[in-house]
Amino acid sequence: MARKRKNKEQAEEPKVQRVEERETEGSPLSDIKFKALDGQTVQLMDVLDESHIMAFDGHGVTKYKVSYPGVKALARAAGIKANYYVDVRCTPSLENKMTTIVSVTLYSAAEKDSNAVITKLGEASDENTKGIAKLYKATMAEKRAYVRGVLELLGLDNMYGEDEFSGDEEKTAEPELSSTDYQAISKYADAILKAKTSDELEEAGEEIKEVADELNATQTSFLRRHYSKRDGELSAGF
Amino acid sequence: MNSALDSSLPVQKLTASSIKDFEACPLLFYYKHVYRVRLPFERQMALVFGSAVHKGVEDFYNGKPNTFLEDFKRKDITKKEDQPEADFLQEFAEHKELGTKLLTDFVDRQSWLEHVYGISPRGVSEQKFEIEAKNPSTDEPLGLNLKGTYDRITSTGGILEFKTSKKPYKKDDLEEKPQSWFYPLSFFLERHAIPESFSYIVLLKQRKKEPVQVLQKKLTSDDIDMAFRKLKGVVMQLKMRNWVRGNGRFEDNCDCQRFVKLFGRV
Repeated sequence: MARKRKNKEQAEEPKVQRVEERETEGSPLSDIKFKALDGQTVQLMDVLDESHIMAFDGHGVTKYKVSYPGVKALARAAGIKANYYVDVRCTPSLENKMTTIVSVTLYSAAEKDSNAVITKLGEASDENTKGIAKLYKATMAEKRAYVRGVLELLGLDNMYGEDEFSGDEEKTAEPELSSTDYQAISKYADAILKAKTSDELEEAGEEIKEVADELNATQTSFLRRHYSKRDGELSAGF
Repeated sequence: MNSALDSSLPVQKLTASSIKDFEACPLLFYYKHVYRVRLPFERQMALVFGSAVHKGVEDFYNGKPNTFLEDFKRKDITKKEDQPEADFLQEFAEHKELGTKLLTDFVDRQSWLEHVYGISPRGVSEQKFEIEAKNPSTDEPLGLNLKGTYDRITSTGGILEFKTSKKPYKKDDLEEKPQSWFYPLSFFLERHAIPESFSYIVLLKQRKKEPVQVLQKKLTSDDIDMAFRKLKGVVMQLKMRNWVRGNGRFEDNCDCQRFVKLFGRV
């Protein structure tokens, strides 16, 4: 494994320890705190501003996305050292869908305190990166591992880096279509998925329009999503 | 294979099933996996039925004719000692009908599985593994091996586990059942890749609406990290060798007391 030591600027006021008192799920932002090494409790929103953080509903529990600058601000305030190790765990290949996996080891200011050291994995592949990030998978993987490490060191359980959400929401939203609902539209789904040309796809779309009144919202949403996806694929191929 | 087994540990390998035993009752785990004794034979109707359905699923994927019938009709383990032959044949016929229905429903839903859940029909079944348990981030060994069999690995890297059940699984089972984290971790350690997803495919015996249930989670390296932490927690508890009775909801029906009666206290 290739291992390298990254030297970045030292934290200005090293003073953090792993948080032991964690906040309960769904705490309002104003109640969320983390504890520093000197015992001082720091309010999360004293460090972040509203542009750094966004709430979302995670299966009935309020959770938060934190931007990368927000995570860096937290790390600075908490005294998590910007010195860290990066270890490459998996290099891209066709077999692993061009996935890069790295581990990042983070230290709090008290480097000798084993409770304040954490090693986290981060991964990036064609499937979970977009745009230019596809070209810099190692950097993306490192960034994800770093963000996960900082949030975990601070005990911020219901917070996630913004990069965790590139497309995953769509993947989890789709499987609400029951098999009974699917069976009823399988003919149309097959026509969409097997369409080899835009004309064939349009034909499938016309057929669906004719029965649109008989479809429920989940079925319509499923067909619409796949139609749009297939349309994009066929256009890209052309 | 593991070259650095930790002799201070009470076991040299863990499976998802042994972890399930440990979480339910450390005393039961002791008898089954440390002392390694078994209870006297009992009729294993549910177990054999489940195995027969598994075999039917495997055969379907391999393009072979259904062997559900042959596998299930094993009188040696499915017939009660004093059960009249006619009763046994009747019971067998009912199970055969149910098993065949479960498999038919499953086969009929391949398109749904593929297009809604991305579960490809291509892949390999019954993949056995035994690998060294280590920290996926640092390679630090835990001192034992992980062993098991994936029901199926799809061509896109998804792990499938097939179940038969009277009731639907709960969403929490995707986080709480040991298989759901043990197999993704093993997959990563074995293949240096993150499985695309972990799915329970539950063939429901008492269906109300849907005969097949899919519980699926997409996986990231964070899940692999979390899985290792769970495994490490189990290993640390094992080191303490505190073989106490479990106090969960199955406490009254736990086999640990039958082991105590037969083999004495720990």
